[in-house]
Amino acid sequence: MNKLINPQSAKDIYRQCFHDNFERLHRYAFTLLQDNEEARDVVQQAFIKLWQKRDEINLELAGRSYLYTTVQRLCINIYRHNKVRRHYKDSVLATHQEEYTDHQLENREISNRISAAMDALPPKCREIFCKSRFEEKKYAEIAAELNISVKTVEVQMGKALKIMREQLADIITISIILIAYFK
Amino acid sequence: MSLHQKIAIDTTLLTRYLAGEATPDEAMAIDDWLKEGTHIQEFERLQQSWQLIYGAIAYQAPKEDQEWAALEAALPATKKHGSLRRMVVRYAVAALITGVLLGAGLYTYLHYSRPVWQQALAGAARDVRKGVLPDGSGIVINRNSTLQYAADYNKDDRKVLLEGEGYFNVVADKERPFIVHNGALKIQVLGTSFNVKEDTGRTIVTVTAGKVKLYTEDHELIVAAGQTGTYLPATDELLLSNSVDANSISYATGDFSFQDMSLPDICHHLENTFGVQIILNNAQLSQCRMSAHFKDRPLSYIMDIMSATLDIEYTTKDSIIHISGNGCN
Repeated sequence: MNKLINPQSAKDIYRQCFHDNFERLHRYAFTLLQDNEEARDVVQQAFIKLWQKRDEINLELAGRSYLYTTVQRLCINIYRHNKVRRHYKDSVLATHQEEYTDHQLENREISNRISAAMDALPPKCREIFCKSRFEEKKYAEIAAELNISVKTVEVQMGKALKIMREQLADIITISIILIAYFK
Repeated sequence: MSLHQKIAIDTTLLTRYLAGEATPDEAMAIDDWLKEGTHIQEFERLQQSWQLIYGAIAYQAPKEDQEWAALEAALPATKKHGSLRRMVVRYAVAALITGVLLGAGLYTYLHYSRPVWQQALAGAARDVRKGVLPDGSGIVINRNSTLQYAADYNKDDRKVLLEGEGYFNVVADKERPFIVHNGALKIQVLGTSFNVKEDTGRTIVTVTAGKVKLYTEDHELIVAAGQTGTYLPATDELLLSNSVDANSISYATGDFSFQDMSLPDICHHLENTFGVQIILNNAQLSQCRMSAHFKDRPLSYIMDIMSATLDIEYTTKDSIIHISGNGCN
């Protein structure tokens, strides 16, 4: 009712929309890209597109859906584009394996705990988890490679993370307390 | 949002989300779910498990204000024919913004060497606190000590400000040096484990792995693994010794190595590590000596071994331990 008497400007609604969704969209984009900076760019782009379409789209009703869909689309494009680059990164990583391992040793205690937690996973579960986490493979790629259904990959991944969470509960609590204070 | 409530949120879906497999609808459903109750904590535990693995990039939420400013600047301006008045206003605003930016730049420049500090490890100061910094470096802060980190930590470097005593296990990163500020003393690291302790009139830096550089305005000193560097602020002196006292950092490592050590010295280390007070009931007890190695053992275990070895007895009350016995001759 208020809005009829004192209609908000499009900019105000847009600002509100940004406030409500920005951080969540960024986290979503991050899960898709695994890159904080790229995720920021994508979300910025999505909001610019929304602004350009503000006459066609009802910001209050459909703005949110539009943003999530646009973010996913942009991320998938970048992901495809990056595949080449990632391939390169893998080969670089492989040649510098020694150095990489060296860095790992610096944090031996935590590193050991994580290895132990991963060893606790059932073999099949571990194989799938490693493919996703270390080889950065998509669920569909893993399913095709192992000749299993995507659903199975999903279930095994969920199971793996659940076990990891339980195994590493003490380390995680510490980091969460820290993160809360780092914000 | 009733629209999304059909999507059930469970670990499998949350894992899908973290793995970058969630559809826009699923992501929206998860974000709605996260607004309720303690769901966010549940999610963060899962996210942490996901990110703990090496090589993983940790998620960092951007600053909304900054992002909004960037977005607003990028939005195509809504064109309207400018009247003279509007033009004047526009130039005035532009001039003002330029002024503010210049001012901000100058401020940043002048204060570049003075970082903005913020509190790192929370928790009661009477406890030993352990944690991991955003870059993965491990820290242990002793009782009555505080650690703060620079607001721009991990940007160009990794600055922390220590008061009291702390143990650092620094993740190697040649691009971003890790620098501990402790009064006028700075300790720079590329990747190593070391302990910094502010004592009365001196700061003691014990290096257990790698190499660090201690420096002040006028002096510098390289301290390698197995060495101890001491800073005396009164005379601005940096001293090097070719040994480390592993027992002095037991609060962090949980490692005790007593080699033919006198009972008072052993008690001193135990007091330091476990935050207790140990009283020898008679003077002869000072003659007792002992060799032992303990790794991650509780105080009660160590005390039991000691009493069996030295034929002494002890009683504990309110973190005060009394030791009695005939002494060792």
